[in-house]
Amino acid sequence: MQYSIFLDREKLREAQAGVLRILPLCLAVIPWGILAGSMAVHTGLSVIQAMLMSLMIFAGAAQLLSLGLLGVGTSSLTILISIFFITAQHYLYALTLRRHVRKQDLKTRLMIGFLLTDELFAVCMGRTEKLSKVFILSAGITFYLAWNLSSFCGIALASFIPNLSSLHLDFSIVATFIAIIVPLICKIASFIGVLTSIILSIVLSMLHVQGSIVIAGLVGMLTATLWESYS
Amino acid sequence: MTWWLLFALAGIVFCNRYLLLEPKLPLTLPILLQRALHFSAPCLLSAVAAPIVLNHTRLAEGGNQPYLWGTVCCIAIASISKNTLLVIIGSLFIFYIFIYFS
Repeated sequence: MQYSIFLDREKLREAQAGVLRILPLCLAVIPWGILAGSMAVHTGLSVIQAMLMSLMIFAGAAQLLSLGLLGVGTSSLTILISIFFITAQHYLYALTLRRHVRKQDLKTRLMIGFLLTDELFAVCMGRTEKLSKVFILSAGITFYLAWNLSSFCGIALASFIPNLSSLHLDFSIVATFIAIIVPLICKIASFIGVLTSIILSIVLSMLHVQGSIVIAGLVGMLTATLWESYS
Repeated sequence: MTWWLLFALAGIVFCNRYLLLEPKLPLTLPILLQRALHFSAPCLLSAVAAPIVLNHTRLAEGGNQPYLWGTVCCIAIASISKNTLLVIIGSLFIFYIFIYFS
């Protein structure tokens, strides 16, 4: 009996930690969500479609890119391929988290897979304690709610605010990522890796190379590893 | 947007996220890649963020670059404070000051 109370307290603590860790990122995603929601309506999606987009896809960059492409009349196949490449970094996130979720049941794994965003990954990587199922799920669900509430606000506001893109809402995502990345750079090797990734992602995106995020990220990761090995 | 495109997009994103989490998928990683995964978070996230700043940076406009200066200030704040919320709010505040005067 006492054992189960102990377990529940442990779970409660993990759940609290998950929610608290992702809360700042939830606030930062609000402008980004409003942008995605309003852009969906402006691109011509019905309210139901716009809501389902955030509910089902749950990926800011992918949603904005697909809406942007749709707006300029790109073919469906090109949109699908672009979305594959812009979300391909999740393969590496999954690979990194793989050993932590290996022992979980199918339902939990599917849920973690569905909730696996850049932000959830960052929060998991920033945690020094063991990653528990409760921690990952509570952080993921909190972020899911924040994303959908803010994009719902965007959908509702779309008719009142015609030109939300002039509000520069996308800087919030840059600020969020920097706030996450900087504390993770604790060795020269990670600094070298980040620098490589930044330079390469800029060069590749200027050349309009598909999959630039994954290529730049992977080369940066390997550079950091090699630097660590040979210095 | 057609319904099938919406569902197909959701399917692609979910597959990209879930596929490698599946333990039944046999996967033996080379040692180099296993060690490289320690650096996945900072490298991949910076590869996502850098092009956003680049898209809003126009060399022709000289010193008037709110995204670039906002980014520099954000990095400066983040290296002083470990408080995520403070870094985000502080750098957004500075960014909008730059936007206001640009």
